[in-house]
Order: sequence, then C-alpha cells, then structure tokens
Amino acid sequence: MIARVFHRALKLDRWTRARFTPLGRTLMAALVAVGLFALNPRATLAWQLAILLLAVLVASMLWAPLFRPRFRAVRRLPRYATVGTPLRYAVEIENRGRRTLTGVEAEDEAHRVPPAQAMAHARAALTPGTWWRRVGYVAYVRAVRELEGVRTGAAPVPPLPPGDRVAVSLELTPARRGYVQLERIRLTRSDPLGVFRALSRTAVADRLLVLPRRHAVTWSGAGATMRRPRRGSSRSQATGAGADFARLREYRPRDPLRHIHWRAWARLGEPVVKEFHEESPSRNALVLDTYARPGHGRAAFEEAVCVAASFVADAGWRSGRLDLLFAGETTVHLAQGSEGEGVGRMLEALACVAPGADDAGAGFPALARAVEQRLQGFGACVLVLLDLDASRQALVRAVQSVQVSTLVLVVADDATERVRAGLAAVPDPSRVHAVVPGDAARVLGGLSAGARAAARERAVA
Amino acid sequence: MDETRPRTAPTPAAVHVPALMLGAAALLWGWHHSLLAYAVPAALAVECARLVPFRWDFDDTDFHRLGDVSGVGLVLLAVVQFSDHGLTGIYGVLRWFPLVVLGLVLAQLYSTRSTVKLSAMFLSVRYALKRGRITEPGELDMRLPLLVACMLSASAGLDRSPWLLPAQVALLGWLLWANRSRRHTAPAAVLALALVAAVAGAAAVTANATREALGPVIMDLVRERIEHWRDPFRSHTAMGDIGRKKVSDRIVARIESPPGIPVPGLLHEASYTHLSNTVWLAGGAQFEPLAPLAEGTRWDLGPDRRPFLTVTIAKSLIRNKGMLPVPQGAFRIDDLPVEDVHMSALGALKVLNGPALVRYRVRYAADASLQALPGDNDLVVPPRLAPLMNRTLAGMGVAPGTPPEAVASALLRHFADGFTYSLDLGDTPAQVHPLQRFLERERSGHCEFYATATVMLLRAAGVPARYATGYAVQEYSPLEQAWLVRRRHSHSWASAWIGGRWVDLDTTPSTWAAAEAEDASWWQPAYDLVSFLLHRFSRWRLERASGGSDDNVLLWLLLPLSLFLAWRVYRSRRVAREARGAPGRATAARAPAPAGTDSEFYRLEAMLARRGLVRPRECPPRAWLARLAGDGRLPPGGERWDEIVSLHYRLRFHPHGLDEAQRARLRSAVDQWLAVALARPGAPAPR
Repeated sequence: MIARVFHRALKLDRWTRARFTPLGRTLMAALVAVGLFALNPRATLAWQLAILLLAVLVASMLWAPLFRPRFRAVRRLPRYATVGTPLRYAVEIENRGRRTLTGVEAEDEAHRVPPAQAMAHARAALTPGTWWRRVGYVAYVRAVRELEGVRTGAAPVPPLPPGDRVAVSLELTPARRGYVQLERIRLTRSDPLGVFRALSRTAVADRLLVLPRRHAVTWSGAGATMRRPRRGSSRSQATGAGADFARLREYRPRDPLRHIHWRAWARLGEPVVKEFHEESPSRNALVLDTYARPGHGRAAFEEAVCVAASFVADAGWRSGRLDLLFAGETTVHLAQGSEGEGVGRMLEALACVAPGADDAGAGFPALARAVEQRLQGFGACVLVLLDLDASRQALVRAVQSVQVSTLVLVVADDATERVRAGLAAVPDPSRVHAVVPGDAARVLGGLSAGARAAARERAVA
Repeated sequence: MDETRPRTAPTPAAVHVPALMLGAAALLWGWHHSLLAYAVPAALAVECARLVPFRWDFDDTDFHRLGDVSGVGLVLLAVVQFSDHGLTGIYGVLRWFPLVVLGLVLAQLYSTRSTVKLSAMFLSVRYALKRGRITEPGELDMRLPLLVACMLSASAGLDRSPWLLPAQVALLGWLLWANRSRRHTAPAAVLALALVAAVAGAAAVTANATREALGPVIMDLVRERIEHWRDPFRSHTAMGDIGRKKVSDRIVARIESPPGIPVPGLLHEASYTHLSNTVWLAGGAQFEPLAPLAEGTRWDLGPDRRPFLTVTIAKSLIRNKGMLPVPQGAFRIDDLPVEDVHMSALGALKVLNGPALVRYRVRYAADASLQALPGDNDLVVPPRLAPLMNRTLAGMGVAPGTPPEAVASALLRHFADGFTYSLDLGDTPAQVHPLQRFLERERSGHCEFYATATVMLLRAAGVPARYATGYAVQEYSPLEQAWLVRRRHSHSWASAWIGGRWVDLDTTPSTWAAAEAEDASWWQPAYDLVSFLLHRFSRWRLERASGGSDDNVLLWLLLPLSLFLAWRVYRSRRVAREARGAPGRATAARAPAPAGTDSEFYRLEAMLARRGLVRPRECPPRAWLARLAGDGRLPPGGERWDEIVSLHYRLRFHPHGLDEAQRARLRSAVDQWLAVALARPGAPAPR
C-alpha cells in the first residue's frame, strides 16, 4: 500500500520533471504557493495571480498533442562502464517522419522498477537496530534509483530532416555495479512559451555492464616472487628455473647430473643437458569474502568489491598472472592463454557479485575449504575479507602455512578494530591491512611502501 | 546522410531572469503595500548587481548563516504578526515576505555563485547531508522565489488597484518571452502570450463576477474594524466604507460552561450615546475605579440580586490590560486577580495590571444593569437623519407616543421582514447617507447598520437608546467543553430603556451567525488546537502562580523559539570550539600523546647531541646515522644503529607499534650503546 503511494508520488515527480521545463516547474511551485492564498478570495487578490498562472500552464499544454514524431533510435554503448564515472555514448536517431525535427531533446530511460522490488530493496538497506524501522519516501526513491542503476541526462538533437540520421552524444552516470537495463529513448520538445514539453518515446532495450570502481594497486607481489615454491623439478643455475622442457645444450660445469641427456651424449659424443625454460609467470589467486556478518555495512561490502576489482584490473599485479578468483560462491579459473578474456570474466563476476547469505555461518567455511583445496601451486594469494574472526584467521594461517605470499585486506566499517583484535592469531601480521570504506585508494596505493617496510623489519629481526 | 560523430550536450539552461525584471517586481510590491521606501532601495540593490564589477566569494557556511538569519527573521515576523493579528497575521507575514527573501537573493547576486543550495534554507537538507542520506543538495536560483514573493505579496496589498492584474500579466509575459522556445517563431510565442492574457483576463472577470454574486456571505472590512481592542469612547463603524476586509478567527474569550447550562447570548463590552456621521462616541462617560473585596479578587458592580445566574469567562489580557466582556445585568465579579477595575457610566469595564490570563465568574440577573439612567443624550437623533427616521417610523406604522414595548416589537418585525444580512458593502455614493441606503434601498447590511438604525428609530420614537458593542456567544467547542468567542463574533446591538431598565434589542437577522461561520479559515481547526494548548498552558501557569504574574504572552510564544536558538548556538559553538581547540591547552590535555614519543632513541639522540652530533631537522634518523657511520663518526658501541632505527621507526609509525619483546630489544640496544659510549667519552671527536 505504502509502496504504491510512494510509486505514484515518484511517478508524478518524474512526470513533472520530464514534462515541465525549469521555468514550468517554477510556475508550478508558484501556483501551489499562490493557490494557498487564493483559497480565500476575500482576503487577497492572489486568486487573480493563480488564474494567470493556471492560464499559462494550460495554454502551454495545448501545444503538446501537436508533437508526434516518428523516429528510430539505436544506442552505441561501450562494453563497460564504471560506477560513478559519467559515461558518454552515442545514440543514433533517424527521422522517419515527414517533417524536420527541430528544437528536440533526446534522453535515455532506464528500466522502471516495480514498487514491491524497490520497497524490498529499501527495507534491506535499513540500518539494523534502529528504532525507526520504516521506509520513508526518501529511502524509497534512493532504492529505486539504485536498482535502476543509472542517472541519465538530456541532450539537444540538431535539426533532423526527414529520412536523415544523426548521432547524439548522451551521458549517463552509473549508480551501481552490475548489469543495468536501458529501455527507452524519448524525444521532447517544449511549447512556444518554454513551459511544457511534448514527449514521445520509442522502445530501445540494451544492457550495460557496470564495473565496480577500481584504484591503482602498487603491490607488485614482490614477496611472491621471492618465496615462489619449488615446483617439482630440480633447477640449474644456468638453465631456466622452470619445469618445461625447452631445448638441449652443451654441458656446463655445475649442471645437475640428472639433466644430462644420456642418449644425446651417446649420439653426439659430448655431454648434452636438457634445458628448461622459465616456468609460466607466478600463478596468483584472489579471494573475495562475500559472507558479511549481520550489521556489516553495505558501503563496506562495496568497498571490498572495489578492492578486489582493483587487483583484477591492475596491470602491474597481473604481470604475474591472476588465474583463480573466488568471489563468494562464484569461482573463475582461467585456462592457459586466456588471460585477456579472463580479466573480463573476472570483472564481470565482481560486477555481479552479491553479498552471500551466511545465516548459518556455513558460507565462509565452505569458501575457505575451496580455497585451501586449490591453493597448491600458487605464488601469491590476496584475501579480501569482511572480518578477521576465527574462521578467517584459520584461512589466513592455512594460506600462509603453504608458503604462499599472502596479502590480507580486511574491509569493514570498523576494520581497524577488527584487525587489531584478530592480528595475534595471524603468523605474519605485516601482511594484514585494514580498509575502511572510502579509504581503499589510499591503502592500495601504499601497499608497496608497506611491503618494503615489512621486508626491512624482517631483515632487522 | 549518416552523421555519426556524436555531438556534446550543453548544460540544461536555467530560467533566464531578464535585466530590470526583479526591480520591477519589487516596485510592484512596494506600490501595492505603500512600502516604496523599502522597495526602491531593494530594487536598486538587486539591479545594481549587474553594474558592480566585483563579487564576494561566499562559501556554503556563509550561505547557511545567512539562511539561518532569514529563517529566524521569518519566525520572529510570524510570531509578531500572529500574536498581534491572530490568524490574519499570515497576511502581515506575506506583506513583508519579500524582505525575508531579499538577503539570500543579494548574497547570491553579489557572490560568485549563480544559485543557492537548498541546505541554506532548509535545516532538514543540512541534516540529511550531514547524515549522508543525500550527497548533493538541490540548488535554487533565489531570484525566482523573490519574483514570486513580490507578485504574490502585491496581491495581498492594501491597494486593490485594477492595474494589478495587468501589471502581473506584463511581468509574467516578460519572463515567458525571455524564456520562450527558440524553436518556435516569435509570432507563435506572441500568439501563445495573447492566448494566456485573454484566458486569464476572462477567467478573472468571471471569477470576480461570481464572487460579487455571493455578496451576502462575503465578509468585509467591518470585522477588522470592530474586532480589535475596543475603544470605550469611540466606535468607528464600517458604514459607508468600501475596500478590503480581514476577518480574524482569533479566540478572545472562552465561556467555560458545560452543555446544558444556559449562557448569555451577548457579552457587553461598551456602549455609546452620540452618533457623529458614522462614528459612535461615548460622550463624557468617565471611568471610575472600583474597590476590591475578598483579598482583591471580588468586585461588586452593583447591589446583589436574587435570583441570579453565574458564568465563568476566561480572557487573555494583552499587555496586562483590556476590556472585560460581561453579560447584560452583571452585578458582581469573583476570582478576578487584577489590581484595578474601572467602570464607566455606560457599563464598560476596564481592567489594568492583571495577569496574562484571567478567569472570572460573573453573577448576573435579568433586572440588573451596569449602565447609568438615561439622559437627554440618549434621545438625540442627528438632524440629517431625523427625516429618514420619521419616514421609516411612519412606514412601520409607529406613531409618536407609542409605548416602548410596542416600538421594540415593531422594530423587530420590521427588520425581520425583507432585510438580509450582508457584509458586502459595495460602493456607496458620497451624497447618500449609508443608513438611508440601508433602510430604503439595499435593505441589507451588517450588524452595525441594524444596531445604528434601531437606536436612531427608537430615539425618533421617543425611547431612550444606546449603541452597545460586544460579542455574540454562538460557537460551542466540544474539544474545550467551552463556548468560544472569536474576534469575528464581534457584534453590535441596541440597548433600549424599556420598563425602567436597559434591555438588549438585537435586530440583526439571525442568519448572521451562519454567515460568520462560513467565513472561517480552512486552517482554523489547527489554529484552534494550538490556541487550546496555549490556553491550557496559560491556565496551568495561572493556577500555579495564583498570585498573578506580569509575564507577557508573547514571551511564552517565544519560548520554544528561544530554546531552539539556544540549542543551535550551543551546537555551533561546540563545533567551533572543537575545531579551534586542536592546538589549545584543554584539548592537548585530553588528547593522547602521539605513539612512540617515549622512544629510547631520543636518549641516544640526546647523547649524540651532547657530543656535538646534532641531527639536522630535515634529516631522517636513519639517513643521519648512516652518514655518521659512513664517516666513522659514530661513538663506540653503535654497531646496532640500524636495528635501533628500525625498531624506533616501527614504534613511531607502525599502526601496531612494538610488542613487549621488540620494545625490550630496543631498550637493551640503546642502553648497551649508551653504556659503551659513556665508558669511552672522548672518542671519536666530532668534525
């Protein structure tokens, strides 16, 4: 019931904004103010002004039915957009009518959200524990805007003769990550008085993937290279350290005996050894914890996604190779040679990840088991956690115990306190960082300095 | 053609306010309120902004302060207007409203901004911003509210000039022309404007005609004229007046009587004997002080009567004084804790030096009267009116010498037949007396016409009569369990000397009560509720301090506002103090010391300084010690300098500092070095 009332109010608000120009809205507001005094015509002459304003508005509306354009529109959307970053894109408009379109503006329209869905979203966003557990109109509107996902802007269309096409540059600002639906494009034209807009829509459905915000990561995984595990094969100082056969070459002193290719020696009459090329770049894993405890802020979860996306997207860190991503229940494992495409898949997975349901407390342990099972053979592992409780401490211990270079980022509203409380149970505390919402850019930008300081401390110790 | 290169979109255009338009609107406002002394400087100030070459760089805080000042000004204006004029104070607020907005408009015009954020005007927006519920407050071009305020305020002006509507059409047309759609041709815009003007003009004429057709139920000037503080010596009637009318719903008194108990129909406040054109005068009736009885709360107005009726009346005393409404026949007042009560020979009661609210019990009897015996003045009919009165009496069939009772009956019959009640005064030609128009042409008017005509006719028939004013008791409030007497219940009637006593003779048609009720404001229920709460509060105060008080009602109305302001000031001061307090002593005492300021490294640094090795301020400890070590200038025992610096750095700058073992290591390393160095103080010498 309330949702329907809010829905109607929002619809009216949108209708007013779409139909009336800024001047029209000013006159509407003036009419409301004047109308209050016009109710008592014996006291003031405000009724005269009210009639005048009403006449202006009615006269402006009379022009609207004359605007009936026939047009076709196609969007040219880029592959990705980023939350909060204005995206400029082209919309191609073709005039299929018989008259030239002049004085027209174009604007995009996102998919309209059903009131019940918006209400449920608004309820979910309520701060738990507050005594006022009601969704007000402001919260409802915020939920609708968040679900719709984009804020669109209008742009003028140049004069368009019949049969011609023109590309208009529109701008939208994504409000959330994930896929957003764009449904319609509308053309508007104001009346001669510049008060009321006539409006015509055409259905153009498109989907746009909005990626989380990303920051520069200065962590190069240097520690990972230093501590890279030996991977089954013996190494020679002279040959590559990897396990993949590359070629045969002459024997050099101090080459391991087991690398000698006996048959070739027999054939050639001089010692020949097998040379192995450098193994594939270090294999790295990224774990995003999506199992928030009750009361964990939504902003903190978004910040955690942002941190994870920054690692995926950052070219410096990928110079190793990120080929395993755990994001809640989603796992992305890249096959050999699919790095370019894989980054896209991982970013898509992060764009669409939602907080996991961890009511029974079983969600995170399951994720931890999956990580531990597949961790062998990895050079570095970044853990983006929402807490540092006992189960997460256990995961950190497990990861650090297999000599994998680890970076732990705990993202929460009270991350500093949580890290301080859980740090004692972690073997290498210097690898644990607290990130509070809004602070990710600074922390990610300072990881290298932190790593250097930690290395120095180890040296001192 | 396939033009695929995207074109960029310009910023959506805001409303364009043409030059001189704001000044014109301000002048329109000043003209209609006779406030040109304010309007002209205001117009100059807003228009000169285009000529002034500089701009101030105000930030959000400045606008917030200015918004607060405007808001407080608006509240004070509302308090003053509402306390002085009751609900009609809204028109007083409207009158001055452009000046309330002007401050923010000037701030915008003379600043580097083109709009003002809504947070400057609405505390709720500021609060939402602070809480993070919104990130960007809306913005408003303050010129538009000023424009609307001037036009609306002009509509409530004293001057009801027929040029107001054309002036408003011109202003609005100007604004529309400046903002017209460039896509359409100028003739189309002109056509649209002409259409608007025609529709508005036709609608205004039609509405006006409709309004005039509703004459009998339309209130007019008279209510305001007779509703305010009643002058016991002079009563200006609205007979012959035209023009504006304001009706006040303000509650002036309450008769606290449960349903079923009879209450007097009329409460008398003052009587008058002389009619001078359209003004009633009290002649030489002087006020005489009464002597109090029973600890100063009982006032005897005349000898005791039996049987009698009692009524309890509650009334606010503005500025601790006022006229006391009492029923006809009142002879004693109890529970009236005032210092002075004065009574005139015409039965008017005036109290001085009383509390803000008085609740007094009045005993009254049918055969009693406060007024003095009739005199010669009570038979005077102005020569100009005598022929009219005689004509009217003749028409009624009242001959000279008719008994007073018969005259009274004839008058009641006469006015009940063919006369209607109306507050629409219309235009009265100057050469015709309003009473003549009332009695012989219109046969319609308000209570002052009826009362004056009745008094004159009684006198012309030889019956002594006076013009009495007061209130009609006609509205019972179930909420308050009391009869409410509003200002618009002000009434006038005739007092006739019949049968040896003064008798109230009210010839106004009984439909007037219904007409009054129709004039109630739409916000009256809310006002009544607030008024009731204030009344209960005042009663509580009165009962608590039964000795009386000289508090002003206005002060109590200001109380919530004062508390709010104090809270705001307290909040803002506290924030400011905290912001300023960073380097202050009090804050420093509370703030924890920075981590690691007790590091053992400083002992080392002091030792080195004593040896002439002072660390330059710009040089970090590690670099400084590295240089000393490289130069071989480190004192003996300093082999572990790198470890010491590392531990010191961690202590100072690492979020987790040092644990116990590490701190012990730092301490022991420093102690060791100091011990070795002190053992060999001489070497090496500084360069």
